[in-house]
Amino acid sequence: MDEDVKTNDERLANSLKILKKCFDVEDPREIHTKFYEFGGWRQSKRKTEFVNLAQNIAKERGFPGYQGDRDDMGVPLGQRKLEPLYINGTDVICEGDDLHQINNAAMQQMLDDIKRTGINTLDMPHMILNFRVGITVTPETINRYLEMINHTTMGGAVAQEHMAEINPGLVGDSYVKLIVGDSDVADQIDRRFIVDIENNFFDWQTEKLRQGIGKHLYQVVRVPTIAVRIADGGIVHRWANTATTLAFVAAYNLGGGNSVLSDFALAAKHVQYIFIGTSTWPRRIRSPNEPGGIPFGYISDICQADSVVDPHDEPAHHVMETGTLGTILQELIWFGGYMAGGIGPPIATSAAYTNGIIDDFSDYGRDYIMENFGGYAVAKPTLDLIKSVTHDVSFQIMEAYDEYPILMEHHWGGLVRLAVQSALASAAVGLATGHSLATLMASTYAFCHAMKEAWGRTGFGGMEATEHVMLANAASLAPEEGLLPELRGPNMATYSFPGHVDSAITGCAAAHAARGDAWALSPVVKAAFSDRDMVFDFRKVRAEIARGAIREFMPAGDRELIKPALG
Amino acid sequence: MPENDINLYPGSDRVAERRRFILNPKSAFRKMRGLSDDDLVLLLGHRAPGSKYESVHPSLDELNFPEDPIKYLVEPTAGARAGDKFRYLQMTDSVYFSPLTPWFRARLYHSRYRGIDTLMYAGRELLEARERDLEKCAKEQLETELFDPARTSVRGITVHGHSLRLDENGMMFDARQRCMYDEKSGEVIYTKDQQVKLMDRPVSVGKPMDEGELKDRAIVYRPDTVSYRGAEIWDVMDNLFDHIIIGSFDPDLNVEDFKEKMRREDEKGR
Repeated sequence: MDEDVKTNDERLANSLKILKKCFDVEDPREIHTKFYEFGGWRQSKRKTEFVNLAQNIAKERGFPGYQGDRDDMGVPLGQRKLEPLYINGTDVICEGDDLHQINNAAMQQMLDDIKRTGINTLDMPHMILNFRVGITVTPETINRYLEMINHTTMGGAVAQEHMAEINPGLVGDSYVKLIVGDSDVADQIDRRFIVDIENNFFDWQTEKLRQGIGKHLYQVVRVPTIAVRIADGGIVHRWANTATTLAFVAAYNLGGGNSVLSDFALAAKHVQYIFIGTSTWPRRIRSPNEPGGIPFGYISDICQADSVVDPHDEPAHHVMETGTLGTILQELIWFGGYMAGGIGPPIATSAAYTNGIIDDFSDYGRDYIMENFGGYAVAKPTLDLIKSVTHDVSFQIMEAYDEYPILMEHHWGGLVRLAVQSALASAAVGLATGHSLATLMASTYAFCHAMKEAWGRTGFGGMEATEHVMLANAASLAPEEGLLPELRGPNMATYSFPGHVDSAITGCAAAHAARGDAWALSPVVKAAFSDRDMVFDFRKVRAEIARGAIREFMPAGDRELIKPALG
Repeated sequence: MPENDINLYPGSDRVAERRRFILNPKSAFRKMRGLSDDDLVLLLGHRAPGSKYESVHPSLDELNFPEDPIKYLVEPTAGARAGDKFRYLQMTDSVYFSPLTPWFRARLYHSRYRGIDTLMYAGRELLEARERDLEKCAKEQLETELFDPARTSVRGITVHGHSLRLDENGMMFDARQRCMYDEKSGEVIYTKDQQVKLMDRPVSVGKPMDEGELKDRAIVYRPDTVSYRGAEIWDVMDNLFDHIIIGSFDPDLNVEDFKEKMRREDEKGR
């Protein structure tokens, strides 16, 4: 046997140490244990808190709601060990309930910050000013405009004194900044209103982003969190348009009602507007900028982990953080919340970022790539290569589940194991080839063939998995069937099997990280989410979720100022 | 239909052999225990032992429905003919060598039983059929080698436990404790039906198989049965994968010709 080949004990040292602590066992290979002796729901601090809170609510309102303390309300809670969860890359330990999106303010803000982002260029409005109105646009006028739009975006009046204004204390998270590719132009703009590409990225990324953005001027609008919480993502381009048009009127002294305004509105709202997400299809209809319409390539761009750890040194870091973001956004919140009604998936989706397991497992792919190809993004994406990498990664992971019963128990649902395995097979092929389409094929092989045929079981809704993950459509570039992975999202009628979304997201991120790309789909989106004034820090997704879990994350959009106690 | 008798499940290892045996509709499964009709009815929990089957429509003989060519093509099952209500049986299979697994349950149900519907999850499989048909299917499963009292479980609700460690007696976890291992008799005794209702009397489903026997009958690839690596099943899966992918790009393409062309180009490239 090759002495350099690591054993599973060595590879999984971190996660096994955590699991042994979580389950309070000495031997992770021990298959037998005891049940029914952990004190039921009382073993959990969080459930104890819930029971006490619910009892007070029942007393106050005169009828009961949550009654997790009753053994006759369906399943008696806590018949087995309710193991705690460590958030990967942090020292935070929490309970599963802390990772429900309703209980975690950081998860909510992550969604809100994505939803409330609108981007449009100022190129066409500036052309309208130049050619139709005859006004020369200069850095000074742009700076004046930026002050104006930061006023109007927060709900300030510029045209009518009787327009009700918004209490700034409720919308302090709202602002507008520019994304400028040309450094000479950037030097002349008020730096307070510029997304600082120069300092937010590694030098090579800044250079590539500048090239990608080019001479265009993009405006990124952050609508107040409270606005998307009252309405939905569909409000964003409208809010941005109103604020933009009013700011142009005021900054450039244009007449109200002038036909030029309709051109501004058209440009700001439609013609040169970038939706973060498109509307979803009619049966699951949601407005633009809702999570179901966000393409996988944007998710890799929204995640900024590659500006913290250089993907040239360690591409897996960006892949893991993007996988966490995508899983929470599209598995937990889109499928689990919007589609399934909000109860169920948090524990399953936590496998993407807890107890060290997926990070340890990623070691398999990395070693295989180094041993066989000597580096990232160098292997030719043939079907044979896809199969060979997917076989190896899948078998290693399944063998680990077989070897350690506490690992199998911790990832108790088939969907959990399936999502982990297919995400890692997909990521490994992405890292090996730098080819995003190959990653889709890898994940579908892992999903539909490897685990299903080896174990005779897949996951939630497993019988339909083969159709839902669309192995055939993994190779289709027809818009209604497939598309390149960067342009795909769960916004296809057949894309209804949640676990597969993880692997499409991680695969896409892995392919671009391996190639040393500065972005996956859009340099503008990449730059927009690098801004440090957002409430959620997209450089460290897992750490932010961890802060949410231990209630240290301060979200925006609260109503404290208008509640009776403070009114 | 005779074409259903053809069983092409691939592989020469013992897991593949066992899978073929499971999926063959003519296989006679070894009887391991006897379960009275009343015991079975109690466990399923859909009607009281001895009571009549409830019907959802009059018997087909009495039913005057419009001309339908299907009735000349398909022989109705006994339950369908009588108009029985649809009922269900749900089985949870432990990852630790339950004689069946959800995917193979689905395939077995489809190849062996008529007039059924089935739904699969990671750990459990739902089987729906007219009540008397369901009882027939359930009896075959519960009395034969398709069922192990410790690693297979009848669970209508709160089904989880398939991937958890086993208790000190080798039993799969059940949060609702429908059954328990009786140390005195060495048998597994159900006190609650599949819907967790307390039964009028306990029902024994017999002794668990020993570990060696379970492994011998296992239908899963694992390092301690037959290793994943090198199993012939992957040749078939790989071929299937190639055909679907290449065929999706171009449905008219001859996949084998294309693969050969790619191989030649690869060699040239090297």
